[in-house]
Amino acid sequence: MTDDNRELSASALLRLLAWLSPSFPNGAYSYSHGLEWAVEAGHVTSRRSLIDWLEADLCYGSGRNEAIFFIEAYRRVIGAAEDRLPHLAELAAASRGTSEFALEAAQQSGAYLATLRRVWPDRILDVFSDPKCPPVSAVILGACSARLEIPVSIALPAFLHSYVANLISAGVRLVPLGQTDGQLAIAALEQAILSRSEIATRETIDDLGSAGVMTELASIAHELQYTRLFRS
Amino acid sequence: MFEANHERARDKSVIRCSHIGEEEGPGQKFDLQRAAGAARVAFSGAGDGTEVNDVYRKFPMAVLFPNVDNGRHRETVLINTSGGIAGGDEINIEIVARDEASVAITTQAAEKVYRALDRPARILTRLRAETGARLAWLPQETIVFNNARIVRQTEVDVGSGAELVALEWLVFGRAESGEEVIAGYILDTWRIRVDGHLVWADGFLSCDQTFPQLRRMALLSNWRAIATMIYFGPSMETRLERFRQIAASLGCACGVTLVGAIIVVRVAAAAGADLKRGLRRFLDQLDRELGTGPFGVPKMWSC
Repeated sequence: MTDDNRELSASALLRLLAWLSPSFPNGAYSYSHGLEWAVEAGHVTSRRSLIDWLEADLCYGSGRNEAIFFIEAYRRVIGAAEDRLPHLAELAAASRGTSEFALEAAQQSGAYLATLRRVWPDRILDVFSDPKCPPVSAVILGACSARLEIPVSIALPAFLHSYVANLISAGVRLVPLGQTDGQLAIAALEQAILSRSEIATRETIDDLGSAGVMTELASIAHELQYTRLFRS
Repeated sequence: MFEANHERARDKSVIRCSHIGEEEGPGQKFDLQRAAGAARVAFSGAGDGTEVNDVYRKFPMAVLFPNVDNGRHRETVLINTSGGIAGGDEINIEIVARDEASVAITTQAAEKVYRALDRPARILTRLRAETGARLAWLPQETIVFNNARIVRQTEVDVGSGAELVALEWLVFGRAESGEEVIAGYILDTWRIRVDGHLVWADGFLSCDQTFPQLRRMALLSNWRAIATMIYFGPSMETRLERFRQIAASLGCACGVTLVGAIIVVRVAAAAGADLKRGLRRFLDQLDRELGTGPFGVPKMWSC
């Protein structure tokens, strides 16, 4: 279903760039996914430890599930099985280990849906009007990428890149690191993004799971962190 | 596509972290007799006590009702008489608490998951607490040995007005022999439904590709034993505050979060014994907090 011979058109590329841009108004900049606590606790203190933390989360932790939600949504829409989106969205919305993971996901997903409806209306977005199909960023973007027939081999790495780049930006502010260090971190994570995307092509919702024990404990500890810049 | 990953993609063993955790290779020629056990118990209750309505057991599972009841509550003990879990085993457990039943379920001993030749073991635990019932699912620890392969699914259905505590805990390797778990497949999932709606889904996953990475700081780090405990009941905000205080007193890493209409407690420790001590402290205080009920440390933990 996702073996694509599709070609990426320039107009589709522009959409993808817009949706995944840091300037897309989803409020992502105010969430750190527990990174703020990891810095406070001394687990992340440098560019190197930031890369290690984020790469582990992406490949083996909570980030890996985002890739599965995205590609499953893509498959369902490409395969004309849109009636199976609500089941996926319900599972994705419930797959939030902590209170703040749930908060960041719900806020960003709601903003995604509202903006996409205003700017790039598409019938697939109507599916998320049903309360049984809660908006979830990975599911919405996977579905929208499929509607434009963007090859998943491009759309998924692009999605994961924006996920990681947002957390690097949080890390740059928190550690703090220089802007060049931030770009070096993004470059260092390219391989992990490509690898995670490729593996996801053979995975389904039966493969959901995370070994991100410390990522979750960090997110929970952040709920009670005294001084905070970020909402998660 | 993904040219950069071309080399790795060709080697199937490097990339598979998926499906049912089957290991390909010579192991598949073994076709050993494996267990297909089941235990199902249904309870109901009224103000004056809890009774057993239905018991079904299929070898190697057995169910005991030791005489530790204080009239109002039932402590029920599940036993895996085969002495452990091996690849290919399938065990189905179902506990139903109706009306005003007040029930604690535990296991007779730690569950050991041995090295699997090929297929993973599968354990499905379904817990249902209907409105007015109080249910505590407090098994002893699950110890996974190196190369163990297991898929455990815990499915919880609670009705509003029920109260439930459900725990699962994993210990990596036999501490006394200093065993390191460096390979295997562990998928330990939760699905929690309140009045039929999925409110929380979770899964701990470590497969052959994950184990060499597990000591990384964002993952298991240096912990060797982890627990997840779910709470559902009245006054969740108040409970959250109280549980946070309890969490700070355990001597383990412990976090408490209110998510999807339930409270999730995560505990991590350097060894199984430390985790057990922490969980005992938690349950002792929980018992006092929640008042008379089935939520304390099961008697069987001390046998």
